[in-house]
Amino acid sequence: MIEALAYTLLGFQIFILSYFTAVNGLYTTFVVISLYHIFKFAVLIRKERVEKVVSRVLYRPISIIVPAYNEEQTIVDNVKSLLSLNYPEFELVVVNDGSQDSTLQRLIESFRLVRLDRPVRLVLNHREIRNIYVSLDFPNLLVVDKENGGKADALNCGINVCSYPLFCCIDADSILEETALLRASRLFVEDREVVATGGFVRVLNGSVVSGGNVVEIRAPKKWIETFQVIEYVRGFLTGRTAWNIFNSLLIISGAFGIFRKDMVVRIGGYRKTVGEDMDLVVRLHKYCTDNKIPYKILFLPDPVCWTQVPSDVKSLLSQRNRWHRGLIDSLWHSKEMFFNPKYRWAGVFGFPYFFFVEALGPTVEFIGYLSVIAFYLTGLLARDFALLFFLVAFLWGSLISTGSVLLDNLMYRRYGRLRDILKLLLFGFLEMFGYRQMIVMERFTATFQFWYRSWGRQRRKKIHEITRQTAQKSLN
Amino acid sequence: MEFTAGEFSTFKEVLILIVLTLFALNALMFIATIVHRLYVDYRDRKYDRSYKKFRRYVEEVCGGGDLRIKPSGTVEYEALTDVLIDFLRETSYSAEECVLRIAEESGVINFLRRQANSFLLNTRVTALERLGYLNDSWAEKEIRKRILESERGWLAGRLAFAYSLLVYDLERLKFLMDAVSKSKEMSFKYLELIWENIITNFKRTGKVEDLISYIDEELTRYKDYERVLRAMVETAGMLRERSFAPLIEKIHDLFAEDDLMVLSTLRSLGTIESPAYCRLFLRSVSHRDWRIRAVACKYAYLCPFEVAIDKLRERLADESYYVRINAGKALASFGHCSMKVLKELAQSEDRFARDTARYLLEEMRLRE
Repeated sequence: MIEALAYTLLGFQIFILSYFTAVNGLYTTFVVISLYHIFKFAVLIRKERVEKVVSRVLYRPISIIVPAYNEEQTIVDNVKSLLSLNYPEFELVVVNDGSQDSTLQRLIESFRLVRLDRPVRLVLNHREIRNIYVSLDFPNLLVVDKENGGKADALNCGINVCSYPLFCCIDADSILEETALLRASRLFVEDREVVATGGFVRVLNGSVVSGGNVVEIRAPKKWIETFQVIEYVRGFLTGRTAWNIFNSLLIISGAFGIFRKDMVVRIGGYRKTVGEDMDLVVRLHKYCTDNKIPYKILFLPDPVCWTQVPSDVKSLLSQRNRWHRGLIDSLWHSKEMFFNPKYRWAGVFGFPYFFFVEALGPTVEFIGYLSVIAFYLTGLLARDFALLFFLVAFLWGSLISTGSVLLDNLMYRRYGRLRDILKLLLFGFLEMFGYRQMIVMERFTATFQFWYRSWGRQRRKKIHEITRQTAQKSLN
Repeated sequence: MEFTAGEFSTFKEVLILIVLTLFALNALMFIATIVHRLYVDYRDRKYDRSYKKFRRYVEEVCGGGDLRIKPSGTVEYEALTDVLIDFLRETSYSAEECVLRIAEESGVINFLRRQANSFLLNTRVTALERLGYLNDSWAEKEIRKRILESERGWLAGRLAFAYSLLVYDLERLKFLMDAVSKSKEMSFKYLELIWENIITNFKRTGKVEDLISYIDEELTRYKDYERVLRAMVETAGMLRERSFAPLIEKIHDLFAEDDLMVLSTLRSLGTIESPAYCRLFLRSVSHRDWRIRAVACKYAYLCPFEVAIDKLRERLADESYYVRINAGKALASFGHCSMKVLKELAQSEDRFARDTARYLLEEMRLRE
């Protein structure tokens, strides 16, 4: 019995060690691959070249869809900022998703909105549209007032209303850099196989904003926000750049992504889930492969969207909980892709990575922490080994964070002050002491909540959705 | 199963080695980030100072002053190079003689030629591009040689761009066209930039008719390289080069089966805004491809109202939403002339036409 237990413990330790080595090895490989590719990208798109690339006639008109729910504080400034984007032809569709505050009223007053019965193509399902407004000051601004139905529902409504073949979805509290749209849409012109592109989402907190534009980039003051800067830089610059190479990018941030409307319509638009952004991209992969459509889903590191991140622990944990449930839900919904060679790299590499590393990782890590406590209490902990293992974990993690900050500095130099860089480097080291464990705990909790709620949901009725016919009737 | 003391000790030693290596790498990354940052900040400040200084000098020299400009160090040479190129472009090449003289006398040309042989790929290509801007004959031969040797698509793109800055005659144009036609990886943006340089250079030297005749003669050859030709069509439209319109029309007819080419020619002619090609738009409003119908409807406003009205009216009931909206907008752009027609359509039994007409009328009323 004791021998069996010893074998189990040994096997467990080997598993944890192998898992840890594999995951960190993968991350390190990502940093190296990204370094090479971002450098190559920078060679191609040097500053003077980008100025040329972004001022040409070869663009595709874009509809920007902004779902807004209770955004009265920021909506006017954000709409003004979006209207000032440098793009030859675009329309801005703000979808007021049944806000309970004065979001709509503020829009009506600020942009001289008037009601207009504009014809709408109802190709996707969503909750009822109450009214459509156009602006007398800005011909390319459209505001849709609809019943509350969640972000995915609002986006589907925006897709129905918008006129152009490409659409860009952005969060109402995000700010796009002036040339971000041009940079992100460039690939749609160059390559007809591109069905979606995503840009770099950076943390806005701490930076100076004036007139709806980021005028000075600074590291945030609060520790919780600074940790998120590290996470965003690491995640976007290394992870997503590496996924590009294998055409296995399974996520484009909901805060900023451009999509081909016809493809999104074909897959039925956004699905109602907490992780609608990832879900959409996973389904696009699946649909295109199933229907033998040549496609590319790409991440571009230079178009930047600035977003507000949670500035308190409660909101942060709630966000991460939501993201993790969304991740599992998206993977579960397209589970046929798992290790399925039919889906090429996305199936045999991207999908398993997201399952084993992103979805399962917090559980493995949490059990690892628990086992340390258990081994300590039972006197089975080899202290020398535990300490060395912790040091390896800490230094390896820091190396990946430092590498990402270095990469960001080599290529983009967004942060102007040296003390901001030092702060980011320092927080890259500190991340392992408490912050990481806190996030892991929440994601571990989210895993259980997802399965618990999924099983619970089966016993409840489906939420009633209006049909196309009802929606059509309501418009007529 | 147990670890022996020796095995555990070896394992521990390996772990200690890993810890030390990771620690060293961390320290290295940390130092590299800081040092790099301090260096680039210093370099940027120096570049800005130098740029301002040389800008004043160049303006003075080209204004008739007598100054000897002698940069020292890479940053100063780069700043002077940029000043010269910017000055050349801002003055639309009217100060070309003066700028090229400064480039020669100050050692910029020699500096760039040395950089064109750097071991760093980006430095090499950037230097060649800059030599292209400065119309250097040595660079012409050098880039030509490297284009022939280059196999990588993106590199060929940048070299071809550098070469296009030097294309003033048909001999060079032929060489470049051969090169870009072979490079299948070259992005459409590069092709567009290349054509812009070529068209601008030929215009500047008063040889644009030669260029048009050359392309015209070679049209059949381009059957296999339609994207090169399509980039030319789009670029000519973007530059609003009316002299290219007859050629674009010819391409439109020759490539009538190629939807993308038809799309580009219509868009280009529409951007040039020549009413002479109205019939092409009207013919295309009933095309089988909705994208072509949409573009044709968009530019149908260039036609006289009486000629366009029936076709546009018909398109208001098109199966494609984009075609309907573009047809409606084209109708609305005729202003009061189209009011009567839109009012009639607002009572139509066709739901698409009715909704679009009502919406346009309402919008016109609100915006008045």
